[in-house]
Amino acid sequence: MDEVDKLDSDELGADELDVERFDAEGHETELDPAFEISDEELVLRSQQGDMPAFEQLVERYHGKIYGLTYNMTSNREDAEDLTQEVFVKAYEALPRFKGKASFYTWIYRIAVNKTINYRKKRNRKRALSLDQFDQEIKLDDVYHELTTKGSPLRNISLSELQIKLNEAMMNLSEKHRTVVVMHDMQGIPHEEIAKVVGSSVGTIRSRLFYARRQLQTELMEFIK
Amino acid sequence: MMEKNDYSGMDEGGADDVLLGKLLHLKGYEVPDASRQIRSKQNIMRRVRQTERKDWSLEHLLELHIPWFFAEPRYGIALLLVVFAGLQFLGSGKVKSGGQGEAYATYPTQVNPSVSLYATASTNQVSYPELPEELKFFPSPAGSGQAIFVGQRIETEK
Repeated sequence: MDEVDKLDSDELGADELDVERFDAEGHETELDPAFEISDEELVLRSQQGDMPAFEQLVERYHGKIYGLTYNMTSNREDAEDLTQEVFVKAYEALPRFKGKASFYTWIYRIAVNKTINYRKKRNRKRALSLDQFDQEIKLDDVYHELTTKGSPLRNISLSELQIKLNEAMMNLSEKHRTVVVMHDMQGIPHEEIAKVVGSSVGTIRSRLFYARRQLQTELMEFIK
Repeated sequence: MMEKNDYSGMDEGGADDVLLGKLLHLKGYEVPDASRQIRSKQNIMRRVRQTERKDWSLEHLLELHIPWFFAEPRYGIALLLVVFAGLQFLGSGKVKSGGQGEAYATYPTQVNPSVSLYATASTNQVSYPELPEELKFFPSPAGSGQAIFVGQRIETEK
């Protein structure tokens, strides 16, 4: 059974640990006060057929799952389809979810599996279909730093930069792109990525190392 | 999105990693269109309800067949207004025609065939109401003007 097939199971193994939500730095956080009801409670209600409870879970995790699928595919239409598939799959599998892992870990695993399988079935070289850059990027210190005099980015437009970045990401293998998206873009710690993809922490670190080397090669013109 | 100037441990690999981290950080500014996200959530819930519900209610059937009505309620409301205005227009045309043509209405007959029979005290005779020669109770199923009689007039001796 290869790794992707192994990840296909809807129910996580008994050795999975509970995972809380993480902040941008990857640290565990308390539940947001706005979320008065815990995930566990919402999952329980959803399992009993409470549709508004599941709707709250969708509201809570839609952005994260879309972000994962979008950065994995660089295609917003595919990302929207995949996000829908992930939540529908989660709803169908919810009766089998016993709460041994957190809902967060569980749905992330479904999302990673769905995305990898989706790209296996479809043409891997799908055209890019990108979301617009938020105009707030121009207020970002990093953007200023990279576009000032002497920087390789000073003569490149935002749209060109966006295309270059996404092409570089899409040239990574699925496994390498997964860890880059989850760690470097979504701030998820190595340990949690390991639980989601069913690998050891060492494997995750190794994949991250090679993925970054490849990205540096792809983006040589901006980095050197 | 990552916190500003935090690259999740990318400084482990040196300056190149930091620069790469900054580039990936910029990618975090790619934001999806808000209306598409709303539609996406609505589509998810619609599909989930289709998965769930076996007892189809009118609301869910409508949601299944005209999802845009629910995804963009303003269009649905606009359509309802147009339909309402159209019906009003058609209705006003009927009234102006003065009951001609295909206008149809229910009205009481001049002579009510179900009027009660009663005996007058003076003659001790049953008095029948005066009915027209051809009393049309029901329209002919053949569609012609032919009348169907459901009763028989009884001539009484006076």
